[in-house]
Amino acid sequence: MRKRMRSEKLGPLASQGDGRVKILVVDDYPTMRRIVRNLLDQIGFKDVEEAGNGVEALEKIKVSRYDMVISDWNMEPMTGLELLKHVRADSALSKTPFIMVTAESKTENVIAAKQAGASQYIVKPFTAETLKAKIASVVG
Amino acid sequence: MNVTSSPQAAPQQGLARIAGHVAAISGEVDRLLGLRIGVASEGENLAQAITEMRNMAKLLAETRAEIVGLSPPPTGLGDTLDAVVAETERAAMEIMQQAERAQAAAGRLHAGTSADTKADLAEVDDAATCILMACAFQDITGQRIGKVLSAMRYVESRIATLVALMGIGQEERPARMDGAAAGSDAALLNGPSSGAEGGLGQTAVDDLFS
Repeated sequence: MRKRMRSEKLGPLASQGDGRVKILVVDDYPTMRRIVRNLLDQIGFKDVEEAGNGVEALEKIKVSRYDMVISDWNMEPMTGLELLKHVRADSALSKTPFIMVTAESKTENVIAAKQAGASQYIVKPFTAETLKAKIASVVG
Repeated sequence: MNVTSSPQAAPQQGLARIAGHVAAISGEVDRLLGLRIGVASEGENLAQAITEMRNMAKLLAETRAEIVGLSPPPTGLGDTLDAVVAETERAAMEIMQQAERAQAAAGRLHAGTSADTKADLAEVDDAATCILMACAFQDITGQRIGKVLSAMRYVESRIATLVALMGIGQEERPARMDGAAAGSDAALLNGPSSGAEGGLGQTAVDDLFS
């Protein structure tokens, strides 16, 4: 009964999203944005918007309020780290939970992101469980 | 085509000749600079200078010929990698589309809202088959990347030899290809790293973040 096992696995995930939390997914690869969006949908977060880089994300963030940002690091013309610094430097946005999802996995990267104020750090490739756990830890 | 040497030995000898020519050109320039041109009635020096310049031109032409002989055959590496990018993206999109099709059908079956249970089960099965088929991209892209890798190794080994023959030390070489200064944000863009390269797993990342 693979379907039941799957739904049991996603059961606790589904309880997290309440449909009111608005999330911005930032990644330069449409495939990765779609994967994250699909996982968020399964967890129950339906209000998801996308941006292809830090500049695009910042424009969206300044116009519309987001409850969480899930961002890649290595993007042009603005990286996820720069986006994070902009968000943390803006008093109106500084409390927004920010999850870095990146293939950058060196100690120096993790420390730099933590110092810049990342709420969580997920290393690509990641599992649905990891994303679920990190979201749970930042939205409570 | 050098018929007297093996294909592997020929480039090495060619690089040695390039390095020799560069040293010779350098010597010619030194000698040229040492001549007292411009001083009146020193026609002998002028004639010598012309000879030195002719020698330099000859050496430069020979160096160019060596480099032409060492140039890798045109393999269209950029186009090959472009094709890999396009193929992987197409495959990823197809796989996601089919997975979402299966999720939708499974969702209907799970929720008991399926209008046709058999058709929805067939839909899940068909989507799984499509996903398997889409994974065939790995074979093609693997071959393309293999081709690029072998060309890159060819170029890399020859450049390494040239650099060594020129006596260029580690300290003279740029630390990074993108020229990012150490300690800058740009220097943090390392891309995916394996464990051997110092990449951390999620557990180690979590430890740093806790």
